Order: sequence, then structure tokens, then C-alpha cells
Amino acid sequence: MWFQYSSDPAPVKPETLFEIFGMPISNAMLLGIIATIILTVLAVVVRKKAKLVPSKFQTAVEVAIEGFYGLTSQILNSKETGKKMLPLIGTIFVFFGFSNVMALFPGVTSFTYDGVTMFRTPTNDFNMTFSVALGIILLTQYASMQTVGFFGHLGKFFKIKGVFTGFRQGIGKGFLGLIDFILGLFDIIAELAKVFSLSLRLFGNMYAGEIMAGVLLGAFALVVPSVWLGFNLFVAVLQAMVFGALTAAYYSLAVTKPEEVEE
Amino acid sequence: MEFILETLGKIGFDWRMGLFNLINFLIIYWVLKRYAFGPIMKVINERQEKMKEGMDNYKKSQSELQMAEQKAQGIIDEAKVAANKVVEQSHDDSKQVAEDMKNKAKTEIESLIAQAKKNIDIDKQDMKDTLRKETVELVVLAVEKVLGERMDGKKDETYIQEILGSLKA
Repeated sequence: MWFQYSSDPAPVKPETLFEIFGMPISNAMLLGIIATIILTVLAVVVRKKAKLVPSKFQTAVEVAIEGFYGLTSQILNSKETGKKMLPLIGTIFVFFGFSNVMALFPGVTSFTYDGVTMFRTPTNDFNMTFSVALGIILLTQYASMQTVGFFGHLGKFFKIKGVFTGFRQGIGKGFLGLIDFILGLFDIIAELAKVFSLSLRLFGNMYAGEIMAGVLLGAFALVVPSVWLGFNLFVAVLQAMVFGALTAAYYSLAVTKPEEVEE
Repeated sequence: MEFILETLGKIGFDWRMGLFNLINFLIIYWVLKRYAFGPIMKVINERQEKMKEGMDNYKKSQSELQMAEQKAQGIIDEAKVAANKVVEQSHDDSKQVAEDMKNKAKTEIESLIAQAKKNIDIDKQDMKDTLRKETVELVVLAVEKVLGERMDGKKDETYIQEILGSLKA
């Protein structure tokens, strides 16, 4: 049936549809590829039709891009950095938002291949959210190294200098330096935790949304599932935005010099 | 590390899939940066530049217009002053001309009156002479009738002289 929604609870793992040279291709990956193709076509159309006097479509795209730009600049507290980060934050929002919404179209998840659902929300696959989150955190580490230098970046986590200078000034300040040193080591764990918090937040929201939709469809045939789908649509866009906003916030923290933080 | 991978594997983590998804994301990032965000931001900046340029030109032309209006007002004021001067001058000139004409007319009238008086005097004298002559002739005629004789030249002359002498007396 075209207008149906799978009421079976989706497995937490994405299902492998087929393999290409030993590379498993899951249903989430397939929808991710389709989303990439559609967005590429749309981007090429935008590029071709971009004019100084905009059409209605271009105006809508411009409003969205200016919105991202405003949000990014606001989080990063700099228009220049906002402009630099716009493509990344914009891509996160557009790609994740579009992929999330795509799977909510009636019928999309009802296609099957060899008894397996062909399409699954790409962000409902931990591989997608984790890999992108990991990439983003690595990028923020690199940005931090560019800003404060390699040793300056390491100094954010290994605050040995503070211990020595603290003890020279007195025992009290020395112990404060020691605590600061230990907290710096915890920051390494915090950086790693960012990868998991970013990826699990999005994955958890999308997966829970799908599970809830299945449960509600099993319990109520009418009205409630539709309301839930509408709510899921909102969550899908909101979570994409949260992911983008957090990326901007992490980047902002990474490129802030320690003395600026103290100020 | 193995524990982490094992735990992540429980929720479906497979590094090959993760890498594939990351590459997929990087591709879409490159595409959107190259074909959407870059060109659109360029168009937006271009438009903003043009709008700024337009606003600058508008402000510039407005100030130029204001200056031109001020200049025009200055010229109008100067022209007004000059026109007032011309009107004043022409007013004075016409007054002078009228005065001159008035004086000239007065002089002419006076000379005409003088001439007329002179003519009247001459006519008066002529009339007096004529009257005198006619009176003498009448007297002669009357005397001739009274005397009953024709007065000849000599007698006539004598009588006339006598009469004139009596008249003068």
C-alpha cells in the first residue's frame, strides 16, 4: 500500500540491502544517497538560476541561507567566522533536515527489497550521526590548533604550566593549579563525549520518533498517528537545527583563545 | 577500544558504513558549498553592494539637488534685487522725463502766451489806428454834411488837425 506506515518497531541497526565489493549498503545509506542526489540536482538548479533579480524560488533559498548565516554569526559571535562556517552549518541543516523529512513522506518506508524496508531515515542510522559528529569534533580540534597552535591546543588539556606557576606563588594557588590540571584532563573526556552526545542525540530522537510512530499506529488507527507524524516533522527539522547550532557552538569554543575565556 | 566498538556495534556501528556516510556527507557539503551557498551568498552580497551604491548615489544626488536648489534660489534672489533696481531706476527716469516734459510744456505755453499777448497788442494797436482813421473819416463826413461844402485837401487837412488836436486835449 502506498499510504501506509510500518507499524513494526524498526530494528536499532540499519538493515543491509545488498553488498557491493564486500561493502554493505544499508537502507539508511540508500536514502542518504538519494537525498544527496536530489540535493545536488537542486543545488545545480539554484546555481544556474541564481540572478541578481531573484525568482520566488531563489528568494525562498536566499531567505533560508540568510537565516542560517544569521544564526551561525550569532552563535560564533563573528560575521567573518559565520560566513566561513555557513556552508558546513547550512549543509548539516539542509542535508539532515531534508533526509529526516524525506522518510516521513507517506509510502517511502513501505517499499521493500527482499523483505527488507528499502528506505530508512539516514539520521536513524548511528553510522551517519556518529561519523559526521566525529568529523565535526576533529574539525574543531584542527581549528583550535590553527588558532592557538599545536602546543597551545595541547595546553588546553594539559595545564602543567599553571601548576608550576601556582606553587611558585603559594600553596593555595598551587593546589588550585593542580585542580585546574585535573579538570583539563577531564576536558579530554568532554571532547570525546561531544562526539557521542552529538551523534546519540540526533540518532536517539529520530529512532525514538520512529518507534513511537510504530507504537501509536498499533494502538490508534486514526488521528493520533497523523498528529505524531506532524510532530515528528517538527522534531526532524528541529534536531537538524540543534545539530548545526551545536556544531557552531563547539567551533566557537574551539577557536576562542584561553585568555579571551579568562576575560 | 574494543569495548567501545563492541558497544557501538550493538546499535549498528560499522566503520565501513560510517566512512561511507562521512564521504557522502563530504560530497554533499562540497556540492552545496560550490553550487548553493557560495553563489547565493555572492548574489546576496552583490545585491547588497548595488543597493548600497544606489543609496549612496541617491544621497549624493539629493545633496547635489539641494545645492542646485540653493544656487538657483541665490540666482533668483540676485535677479530680484537687480530687477528691483531696474524698476527703481526706470521709475526715477520716467519721473525725470515727466518733469522735463512738464517744464518744456510750461515754457512753450508761456512763450505762446507771450506771443499771443504780443499779437493782441499789435491787433489792439491796429484796431486803435483803424478806429482812429475811421473816426476821422466819419467826422469829416459829418462835418461836410454840416458845412455843406466839400472839403478839399487843404481844408480837410486843416480840420483834421484841429479835430485831432481837440481830441488829444
